Amino acid sequence: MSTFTFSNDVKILCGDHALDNLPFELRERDCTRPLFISDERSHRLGFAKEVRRAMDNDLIEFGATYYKISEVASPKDCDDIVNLYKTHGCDGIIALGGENVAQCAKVAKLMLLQGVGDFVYFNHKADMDADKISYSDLPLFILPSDIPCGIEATDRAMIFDEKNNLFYNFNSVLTRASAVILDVRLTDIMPAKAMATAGLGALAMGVKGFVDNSANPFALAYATSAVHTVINELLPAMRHNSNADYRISIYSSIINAGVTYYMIEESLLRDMTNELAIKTGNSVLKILSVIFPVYYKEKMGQERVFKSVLMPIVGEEQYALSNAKSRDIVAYDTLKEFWSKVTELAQIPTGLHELGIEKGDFVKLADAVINRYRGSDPHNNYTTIVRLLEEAF
Amino acid sequence: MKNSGFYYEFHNPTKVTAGVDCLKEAASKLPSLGLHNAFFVCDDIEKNIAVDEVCKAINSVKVKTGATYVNSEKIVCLNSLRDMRDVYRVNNCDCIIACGDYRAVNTAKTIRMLLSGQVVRFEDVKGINVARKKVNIPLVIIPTSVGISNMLTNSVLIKDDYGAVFECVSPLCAPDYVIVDPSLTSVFDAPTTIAGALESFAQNVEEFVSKQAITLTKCMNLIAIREIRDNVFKVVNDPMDVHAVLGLQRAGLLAGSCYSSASAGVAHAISAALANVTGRDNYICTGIVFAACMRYNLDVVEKDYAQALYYIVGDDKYASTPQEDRARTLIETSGKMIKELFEENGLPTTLSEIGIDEEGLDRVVEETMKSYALVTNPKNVTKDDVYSILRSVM
Repeated sequence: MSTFTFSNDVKILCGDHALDNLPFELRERDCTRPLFISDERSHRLGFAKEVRRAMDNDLIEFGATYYKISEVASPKDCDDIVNLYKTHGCDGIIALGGENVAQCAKVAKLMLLQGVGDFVYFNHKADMDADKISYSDLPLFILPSDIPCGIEATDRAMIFDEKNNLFYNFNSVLTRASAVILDVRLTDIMPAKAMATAGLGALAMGVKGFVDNSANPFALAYATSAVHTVINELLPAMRHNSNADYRISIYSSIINAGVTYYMIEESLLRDMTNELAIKTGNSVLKILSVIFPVYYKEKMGQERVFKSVLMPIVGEEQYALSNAKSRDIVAYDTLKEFWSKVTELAQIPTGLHELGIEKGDFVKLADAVINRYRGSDPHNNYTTIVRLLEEAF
Repeated sequence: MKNSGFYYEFHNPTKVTAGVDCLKEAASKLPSLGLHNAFFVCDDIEKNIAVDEVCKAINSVKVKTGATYVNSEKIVCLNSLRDMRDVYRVNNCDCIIACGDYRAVNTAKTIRMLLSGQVVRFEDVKGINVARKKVNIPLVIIPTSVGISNMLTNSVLIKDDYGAVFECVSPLCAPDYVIVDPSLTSVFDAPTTIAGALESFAQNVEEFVSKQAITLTKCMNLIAIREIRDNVFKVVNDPMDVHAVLGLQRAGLLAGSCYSSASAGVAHAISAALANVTGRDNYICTGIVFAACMRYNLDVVEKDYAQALYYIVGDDKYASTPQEDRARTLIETSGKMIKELFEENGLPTTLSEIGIDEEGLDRVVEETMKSYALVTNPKNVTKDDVYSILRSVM
């Protein structure tokens, strides 16, 4: 039994009227002039108004508001947030929106805490690792108004500098949110396709987290919870997409899956997925929903044991009845069957070619992934990456 | 838009490092938490050989031991807390490190809450979220016994000037960092192991069926129950098996992590009341009433109990137990396990053995009904219910 460390003090507030607790959470952290940032979509759909309404009741005023976060989180967005924050003397950040808003709010928090005024500071520093375990806090509240991406409650953030074709991967407690608030009022009915893609992405993160974090009981619980929820509630969530309970349940499973997935120190799957996502403009969850079955099959053939993941997939009854020696195969088959059912029902992409990725890009992509990968698993080499990409094509 | 009004909160503010011989490496992180001059709280410096080892480890990373306070009260009293405040101030301490069993943990969490909230009248903190953070005082906990689930909880117990016990719930009680190194578990005897394992088992089961349980906390509880099953008898048979001790400590960590979200139930409420009235250890009281409390909740949590059985008995027994018998089997198995462990070690298994008579019942019931834990019990508990549970184990 090896040593583990677990640290995740992000408070999760989830469900009906969760937003109403935002003023309390702000007061608890002595935050009186938060900067409110969002994107056009959340503003247009009236979600920003909902947040304002929740604040009005408690007479908390925003230090400043900014609704122009780009669709893909960029260095400029981070700089804009930092400047606004400083100019208006803010003392916290409320970030409402999708993945883009969450990512740049997290990086802006890190910049403010480290006294970095311009994103240029990070130029050519590919991976910013954490070097502290404590910090003077800057309250950051992430309010997903779109399908979460899984990074919300983690120490990770990613920014893509399109101009210079640079990908910044942050891994620091300084990017950590104080709380993630998932409220039904901030979500809209999701098409079954989007729900299916996100659910499968969460399932992939959960299974990966389950297998790689088996020594850490906390991370294992997050993974188990995510896998169990997706397996049991994704199909109902797709069939009854006006049912807010199912929707919130799947969203919270994405948050939990993210906690365990992004806790893995080194992961070829994550490096590959991030690279593909950032270079092709697809979400991480979408890439995972396509590439994971291929990755899983590849890993099945290696030493890593997948048998215990059968438990959250099929539950105690089936697990107890299954043959202990073939549990890894049963887990794989069950997961594959589930994957096919969801992809067929929602008619979502099953190959990378459907996501706009071309075979000609594989060499370049594999190069970038292998440069990023810092793990020591000898199986994870250039040839493996190209083979996985080809199989997932 | 269908919406059932479902809502939950989950928060685990504590960083945890757990592993065999992890102390040295974990201690190296302490200076970055802002620790310089520590107020060191322990329960029994003479018996607890781990204290010396912990002091050496923290001193080696340039964290001074500004003052050491030994407190072996089961529930810390206000006078001791006032003493501690003075010692902390006189020695210019800037952080608190606790080393010991549940007593040291409860004491350190309490004094941290009071000092961090700059509370003037300690008796005024009774209740939920009364103290608010005014100064940052890092709190590190290094437990030296198995299954201390109060390590990660946000609540403490305090004895007032009249001997009455009250509970405080505050985020200020939760430590910043917990270091669990089973090599420091210095009291290697069966009753101590049983105490830790039982407390942790009962807490995990109660959290699992709590009204406020969520999928995440339930998963933590089931992992914890499996850890207890896998390790408790190993530790009873070989108390030096540090890996098995670590397993039990992991179970305690998981239970503690779920507490602020899922809370507890009727067994927690009754055993705390019994411990308060009789002065006996909490785990003994839990052992006496736990199976009866499980039986009481059975009709509303049958499905959950049935599921939990798997983590106690494993594949074969679970598969061969008919579905409709699983919940009862869990209660019987748990009850039998506790009874056997208690009898083998000469521990009491009835209320009369710990000096509770018909008259004493009234006090226990009265104390029980004050507990916050009843709010999250899956069934609404009445006074009559508590009488009935207690009489079944007289």
